[in-house]
Amino acid sequence: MKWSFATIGVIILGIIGASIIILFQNITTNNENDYYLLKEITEAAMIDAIDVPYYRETGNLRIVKEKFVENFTRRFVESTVFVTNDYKIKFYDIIESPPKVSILIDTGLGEYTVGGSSDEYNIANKLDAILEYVGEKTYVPSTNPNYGNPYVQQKLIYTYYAIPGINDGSFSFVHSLKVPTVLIAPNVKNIKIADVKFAGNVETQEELSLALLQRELSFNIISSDFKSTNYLQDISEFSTTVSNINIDFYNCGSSTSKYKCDDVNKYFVSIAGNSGYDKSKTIFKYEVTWSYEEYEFID
Amino acid sequence: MKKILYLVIILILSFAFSLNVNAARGDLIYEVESVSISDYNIKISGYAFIHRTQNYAVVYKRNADGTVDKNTIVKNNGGQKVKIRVEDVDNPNNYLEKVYDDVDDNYNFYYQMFYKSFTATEGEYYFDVGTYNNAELNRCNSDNEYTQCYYEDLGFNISFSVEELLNKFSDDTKLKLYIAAYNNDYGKYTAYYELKIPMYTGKSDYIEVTRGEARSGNVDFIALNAILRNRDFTIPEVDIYGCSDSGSYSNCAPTNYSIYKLNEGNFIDGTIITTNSTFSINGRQVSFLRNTRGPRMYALCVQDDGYGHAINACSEVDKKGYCIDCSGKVMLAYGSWIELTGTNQLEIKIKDLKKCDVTVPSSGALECNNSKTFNSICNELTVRTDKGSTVVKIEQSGTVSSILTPSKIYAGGGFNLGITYYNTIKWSYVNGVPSSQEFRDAIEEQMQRKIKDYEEYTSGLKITELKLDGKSYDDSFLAKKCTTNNANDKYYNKELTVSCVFYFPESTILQNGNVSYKYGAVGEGISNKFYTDINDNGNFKIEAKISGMDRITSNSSKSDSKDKTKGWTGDWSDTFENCTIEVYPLLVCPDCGGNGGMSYKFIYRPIDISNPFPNRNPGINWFEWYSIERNKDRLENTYSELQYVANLDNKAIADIKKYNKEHNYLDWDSINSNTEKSSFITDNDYIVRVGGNQ
Repeated sequence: MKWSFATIGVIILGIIGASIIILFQNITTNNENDYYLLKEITEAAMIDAIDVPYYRETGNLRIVKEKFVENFTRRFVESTVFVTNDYKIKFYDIIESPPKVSILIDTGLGEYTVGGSSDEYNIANKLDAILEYVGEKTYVPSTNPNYGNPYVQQKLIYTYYAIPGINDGSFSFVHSLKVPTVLIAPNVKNIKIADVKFAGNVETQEELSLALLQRELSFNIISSDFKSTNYLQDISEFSTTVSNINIDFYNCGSSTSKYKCDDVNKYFVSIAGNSGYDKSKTIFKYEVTWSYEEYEFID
Repeated sequence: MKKILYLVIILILSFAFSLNVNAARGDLIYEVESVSISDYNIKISGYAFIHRTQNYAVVYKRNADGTVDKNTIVKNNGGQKVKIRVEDVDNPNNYLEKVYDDVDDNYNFYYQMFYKSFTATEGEYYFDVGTYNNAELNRCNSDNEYTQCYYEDLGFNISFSVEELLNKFSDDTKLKLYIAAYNNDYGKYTAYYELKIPMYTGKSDYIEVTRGEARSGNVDFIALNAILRNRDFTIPEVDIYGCSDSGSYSNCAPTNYSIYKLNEGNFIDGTIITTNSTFSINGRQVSFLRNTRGPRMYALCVQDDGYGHAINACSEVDKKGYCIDCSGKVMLAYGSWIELTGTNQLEIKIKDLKKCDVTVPSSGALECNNSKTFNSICNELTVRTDKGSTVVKIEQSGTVSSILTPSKIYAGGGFNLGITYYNTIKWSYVNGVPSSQEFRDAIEEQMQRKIKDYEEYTSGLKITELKLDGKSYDDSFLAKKCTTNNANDKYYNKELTVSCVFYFPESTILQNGNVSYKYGAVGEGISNKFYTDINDNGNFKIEAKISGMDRITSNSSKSDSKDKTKGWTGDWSDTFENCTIEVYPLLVCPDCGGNGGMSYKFIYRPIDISNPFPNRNPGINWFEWYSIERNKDRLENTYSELQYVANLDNKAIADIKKYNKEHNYLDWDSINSNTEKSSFITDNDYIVRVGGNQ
């Protein structure tokens, strides 16, 4: 008789033990799976969500929040065969640019009964991740002088053409300069006009044609009357010598000024001078030195 | 009545038979063999001699015993000269003459006008003064010595250059041509004879033949001392002396082959044949055969001699051109020449046609971010209208310029390309403005036809063979915009200007990152961009050709050119060189994986939000953001900002898996391009927007 009770006791112990094993197996094994999945799926979904049009226009990284959420969810589901409990995936403070995501996966394992007492066990996996451009001076120790200051001062010289009208032998104009395209990049900041100087007369039809081509690419054309460039101009219509040149330039944000600054118009050059009385317009060129700071990419 | 009819017939026949035209001494006998015209000259060649005069330089003495004494040479310098006069029809005192006084031994007639190459022995024939009484026939030395008289070295070859004619005569002058000859025996030039030619060859812009061929279908054979022989030239068929060729004229006697006798000075009507043909000559049917050895020998197939001899027509010739089937007599009429009976004296007009030198409009390479100019100038061009002609100058200039920016761009970024072409053209009078408005209008109309009108010109001006990074694009890809300064399209004395600018067409970047181009659409003009591929790395090459820049029509350029094989404006097309921009990877990085695999220029990195950049600088796209304190705080408070919750049970899982089968992960159709909201989230309840995201 006692042997039969002993046998029953062993069996019951075995069942309890197995339950405990099953419990922890579910917790540990699925938890590892979930974290691995979380990491991999987050990377894939972030890349899926990259705003390519934005990148094409700016060279910078941005993700579209809801595309990330959609793709993450879809990818996560695809990797799941069967859930014994409902999953809750929580998305916190997704930053589109620079790209950062924070996800918490609540597996919600539910109630387990061990030895007559029932408890709820909730296991959650959390991950914060970013997409990052690494530069030349990213991985520098705190003792390095570039730590906290990875930017390098740079200069770029550009030639611009002015085609102002002449009024009684003199001219005066303001150009709102576009930032040179080569400076539109995620690793460039503090773009400023550092210097402007007169760069010479224009006397040939060939150079006039180049000046006309450059116009809409170099300047923000403020007046709608002159938005479209008139390519039908002959060098003979121009006075090709200028004198008494006075140059001024302004970078928005430095101080208050007469120039009207906004998101588009940030850099101004103002030039006045004299030219021939016999013609109604003149042409010449000037050189702008742009200064900027660059956080260099790794080659 | 019958008597009257017979009388008429007799009269007609008598008239026909008596229609002898005796060639008198001093008459000019000539035959033009060849007339050719070209843009450089008019060349006339043939032979001429003065009838009944001595032309040869050397006369052999023939002794009484019949031997020829070549040691005794009486020189009688022939001294033939032939001159051709080109005379202004309206002003005969204005003329240009050229004399040929060279020795041209291609044409040699003996006293019987035999062609030299057909004589058996040089100097064979002689004129026996004693037996033949007609001292008028061939004038030789007047003494009693036995002499032989020859017409030798009778050829001439005269050429008038276009330049000579233009120097002498003004534009459009009508000119007639005359011929005369001289020899020492005659002692003077003959009168001028109207120059008649059988035909001419060639053509010229400067010489216009206004009355040319004098062939009227008939020719006269001048049969002075002509002999008809059989085709092998062995038996004289007819000898005016009744001789046969037995080697000596002492055995002259009529032969059975006599057909008819040709009296001195008889003219036999005939035709210069170009094909085998049959004609009536003095009432006799004669066939003329092509390819006779000539000049001055004509092959005949005498069909009907009018004396009752039945002779059939010749219908076939052999390879030598002789009549194969001439059931009559094939005879060679040699020692004769022809006179053209057509009334056309050769008339020409000289055209002072000024044309344009071929130009090389440009030199050097056409590069991006640079300019190149094309120029073609014609300093003198004759323009003809029905109101007259004048000389004009045409000037055309064109400038091609281009801009390609920036020189360096990240892969996936866009660049700008602009090409502008500026063309000017004008013309002016060289010798002053004509006073007649009607004339000026006519010239203006001619000049206008030399250029393409605005629509034709601008539609033909193209950027072709466009390749961007090796991929070809249609001619219609680039947008084009043209303007002109002159709505009337007149370009006399002022520049007619056209300007065209080419640039990339309007484009749209789709949500999935692809770019769609609207071929030829203007959009933002030169600010339109072309986007490089996200996977690009290295030099991006732009290849293109610009053509159709010449505003002068192709036909006009060729017809006004001095060089007939090339238009005077030259080549107005060019190919762009050295047009590249440097593309560097910024998103996708080929070979960044190290083992040749694709990777990304950025890194994906799980972070600790309380210390995201331990012991290093934040990355390029993070540094500025992280330097702002409130952003650091935001990071730390991340988990107080719940935005989305996805509740996944088995049903949701099944639904989403089914959705996944039908939609690619990179499919952006579910994202609203304006709000950037996802319809996958909106239309299903398994994902919930929380807080400010609703």
